[in-house]
Order: sequence, then structure tokens, then C-alpha cells
Amino acid sequence: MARFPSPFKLGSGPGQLGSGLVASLCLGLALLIILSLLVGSTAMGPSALMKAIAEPASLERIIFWEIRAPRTLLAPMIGAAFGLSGAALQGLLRNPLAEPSVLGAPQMAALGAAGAIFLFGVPTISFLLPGIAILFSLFSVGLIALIAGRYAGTATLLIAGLAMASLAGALLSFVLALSDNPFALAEVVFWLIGSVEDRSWHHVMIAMPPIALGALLILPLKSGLSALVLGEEAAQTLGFNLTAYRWRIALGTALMIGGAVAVAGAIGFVGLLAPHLVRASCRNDAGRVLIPAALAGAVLVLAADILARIIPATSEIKVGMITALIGVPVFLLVLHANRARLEEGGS
Amino acid sequence: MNSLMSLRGVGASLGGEVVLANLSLDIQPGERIAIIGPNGAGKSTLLRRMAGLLSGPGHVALLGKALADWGPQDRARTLAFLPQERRIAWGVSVGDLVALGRLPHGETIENPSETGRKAVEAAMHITDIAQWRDRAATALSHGEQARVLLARALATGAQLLLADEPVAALDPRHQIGVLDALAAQSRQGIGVICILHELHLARAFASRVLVMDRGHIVADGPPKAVICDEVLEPVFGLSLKAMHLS
Repeated sequence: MARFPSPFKLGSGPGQLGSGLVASLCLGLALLIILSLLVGSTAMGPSALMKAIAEPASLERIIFWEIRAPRTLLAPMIGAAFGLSGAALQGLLRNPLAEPSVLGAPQMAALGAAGAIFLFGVPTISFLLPGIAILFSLFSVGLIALIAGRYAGTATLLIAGLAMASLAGALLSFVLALSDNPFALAEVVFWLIGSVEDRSWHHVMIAMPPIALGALLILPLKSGLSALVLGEEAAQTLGFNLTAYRWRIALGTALMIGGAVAVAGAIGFVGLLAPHLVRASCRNDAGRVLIPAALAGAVLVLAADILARIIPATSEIKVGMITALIGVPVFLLVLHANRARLEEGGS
Repeated sequence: MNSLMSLRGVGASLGGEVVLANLSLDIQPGERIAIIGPNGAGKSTLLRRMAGLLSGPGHVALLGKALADWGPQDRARTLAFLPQERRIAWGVSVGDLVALGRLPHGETIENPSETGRKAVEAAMHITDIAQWRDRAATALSHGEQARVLLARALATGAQLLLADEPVAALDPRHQIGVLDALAAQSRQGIGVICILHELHLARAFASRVLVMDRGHIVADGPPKAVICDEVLEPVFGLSLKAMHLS
């Protein structure tokens, strides 16, 4: 009889590897991309799309090419960055709750980027911005990895992450309050919740290189992440250099999170949600989950961005609000479903 | 002929404290070695030093070549290690978990070679776990998981197997079954080194017994010569009779 494992419970049994999983996610992403180009405060039907293509000086063309297209590319790129980072961190630390925002990495990256903009006048479309965000993110991931140690007990991870996220939030508010810009404090919401609203091609261009580089660092680590299910010593004696793994994942995550946060703020919980949505279909294999988690992250953030545009509100809802509204209950479900195992795993 | 593994003047320290001091040892193909000794004697540290997981003074050679000079994949194909830690992090299937033993051969879980597939099947058969191949390894009992993890080490097809308490948490039938399986491996020329706490099993299984105490090998020889009051009483503080072994 077929079994349907819970996507939230680790030991509930491996599902069958869906050969169509990646294809389904790609198809879903393609459909969302089309929808994203059509949906917004100005509805764009097929005729408006034709006009956008045919008439270079038309308003439709500006909406389509300058507003919708960069946003439609940026949202999945950022979602993939968070999804892949979450999957890699969970695999490395062997902990289902280890994701960038639980570790405070995006919040620290947001602090770095906002500080650079509001205290030092760095332009919002400067390549310096992801660089600073990457450094702050790397600091956060590195410090928590150091505190939690090799066995990354759940309690230590969560408490250290909570401390890091709270510190980043407080410092960010402080930095924005110190700024000469009278509207700076209103930016706290953007940096701590995250959004892809009003993003341009410049933003796409500054986020893409670090995200691509981070993905290139992490994707080849599939086999070692699979082997880590056995523990660090067994994985090492299977021929994997775990010191190199730790560095590559810390650096890869920092690059992706820094790149993403520099242009879209700290969109939370995608790194947790995406791997959990696909884990059972990947037979609970921490290596095989990487690419599907990246795709699931892309789908999630683009879908959340489309929702943010169509939910009626006086000002546009932020993407990060929607991902947090879905993410927090899932986080609690994962914690509840695995509490016995997580406690057994050490703290 | 080269030894399978040789140790010369090997030591190790943990947290600044010397836990292994100046050990020398040669292991030949096909030997079945049981390491016994009280808690804290340095047994696991010795095994981890042999597996290349710890560094320290002295020289460890595998097939005549310094352990540090081996490439990680080559070493992993030649030497399999079953650590004491038994925590399985994710609910992967038993079949997939055993297939991880083939990673050093450049195979993936999805696409094993024909040799790899046979090695995985044989390892599951030897450890009597084939019936669970599609079950989540985390859903098994600790004793059952121990057999799955041993199967993973066997699937590697290494010439030397280092196992840290491979029969801990197993019921008597499976303790005997696993040790019989390891003995069968040694008859094929594989060197098997196990840490065992059950002295009666060490006596039945091993062709050679090493007794460790406070970081030193205090006795090394065939079971009959080593498992006796003269050797064990100073180490364990108990006679064989007191341990119900006389």
C-alpha cells in the first residue's frame, strides 16, 4: 500500500522519488511567471501585452518591461537563494529548523545594507551593497555555527539565532533612527519584512552575481550532504572533507542571502518552507533536496509576490508578510512533529 | 608482504590530556581483532586514529603508505569505519542508507553500478535487513538501526573494517549473526577490528584480542592467551569468575 509521509515529520518514511517533481516545479514556475507579468495594479490582458510588444513608447511597454519583468525575474531568484540556502544549512547541521532567517542571517544582512545606505550614503543600486550584506550575513552564519558547535543542537541554534535576529532588528532600527533622512525609519518594514516592490533591472543585476556564485559553491556538495545523514565522522570516512563543506556552505549561503537581502530585504521562512515542501518527495535525502528546494523557493516567493499585488490593501502588502504568515505555522508544525527527535539530538 | 595497517609510536590527546601513548601494532589481512578494555581506556580513540579522524604523534600506514598520503576517496574505498555515533538525521530509506557505502566508488544512490548494486544487496542480506529496504531507517529500533549502519560499512567493500561497538544494543541472536557475518568477511581476507564489551563474544569471535587500559595496549594475543585472570583482573578489577566467564 502506498504511504504518504508527512512533509513535516522526519521519520515518517521516505516517499517515492517523484521523477516529475522538478518538472512539476518548473511548470508551476513558468505558469507563475506568465501570471506575474499580467497581474498588478494595472491589469494587463493579452491586448495590452501585444501593445507592449508592438509600441516601444507605450505605457504598457513601460509597465511590462520596466516594472513587471524585473520583479518577475527577481522574486524567483531570491526565492531560489533562500530555498537552496535553507536546504544546505539543514543538511550540513542535520537539523530541520536550521534556515537562514532562524539563524538571523538575513536580518544581519539587512542591517549591513540599510546601514550602508542610510549612514554612509551608499546608493541603493550600488554593487557595494550586496558586498556589505554578504559580510554581515557571513558574520551571522559563522558566529552561530561557532556557538552551536558541530552537533548544532536545536535549542542552541534557536536561541543563538533568536539573539542574532533580535540584535540585528534593534541595531537596524537604531541605525535608521540615526539617519538624516526623515523617512528612513519607515524603511524598517522593508528591510525586516522584505519585498520586491519597485525593483528595477539594476537590482536584478546586483543580486544575480552573488546568488549565482553561491549556488555554484553549494550545488556540487550533493553527495556529501547525503552522506551527512550518518553523522560527521562517518561522512568524513566516506571521503568528504567536512571542513571544506562548512566553509563552502557558510560562504555560499552568505553570498546568496547577502545578494538577495541587499535588494529585497529579509524575506523570512522561505529557507525553512521550501526544503520541507519537497523533502518527502526527495526520499528525505539532504543531497537530492537541493535543486527541488531552490525551485520550491522560487515558486513560493513569486506566488507570494503575486498575492501581495492582488490582495486589496491601502498600501501594497510585502512579500515577507505572506511568507512569514505561511512559514511560522509550518515552523511550529515541524517543531511539534519532531520534538522527540530534536530533543534526542541534543541541545 | 605489507601489513594491512601498521602503527608505530602512535599517540593521541583529547582536550590536552594524553589518551593514547606510543602504540605500535601490525594488522594482517583476514585478522579478526577484538579490542577490549574498561571505559576510558582509549579504545575508540585508537579506532578514530586508525581511521584518520584524529591526528597525533607517530605513524599510521595503510597498505604500506602513510594514511595522510592517501586521497580521501581512495582511503574511503580501502578503509570503512563504523562510528559509535548511531544517530540517523533524516528518515531516508534503509536501501538508500546502505547505498551511501558506494559513494567512495563514485557511484550515486540513484545510479549504482552493477557491482555496487550487488554489494548493497549482499550487505543487506548479511545483516538480515533486506526486508526493510523501503522503510525509513529512523522508524527502526536502535538495534535494527545498528545493523543498517553496519550494512552501510560492509557495502563499501573495503579491505579493512573498523567498527566501534558494532553489536551494542543488539539482541543475542543478532549479536551472534553480526559477528558471524564479520567473521565471514575476514575469511575473505578483510581485516576486521571491533571494539567489544562482551568478553564472551570477543572470545568466540576474535582471532586476536587487544586489551587496552589507560591509553596502552597491555595484552595482545589469541583469545585463550589474553582472556584470563592474569591479564584481565588488573585491568577490570574483577576475576573471570566474577564476570561469569570462567
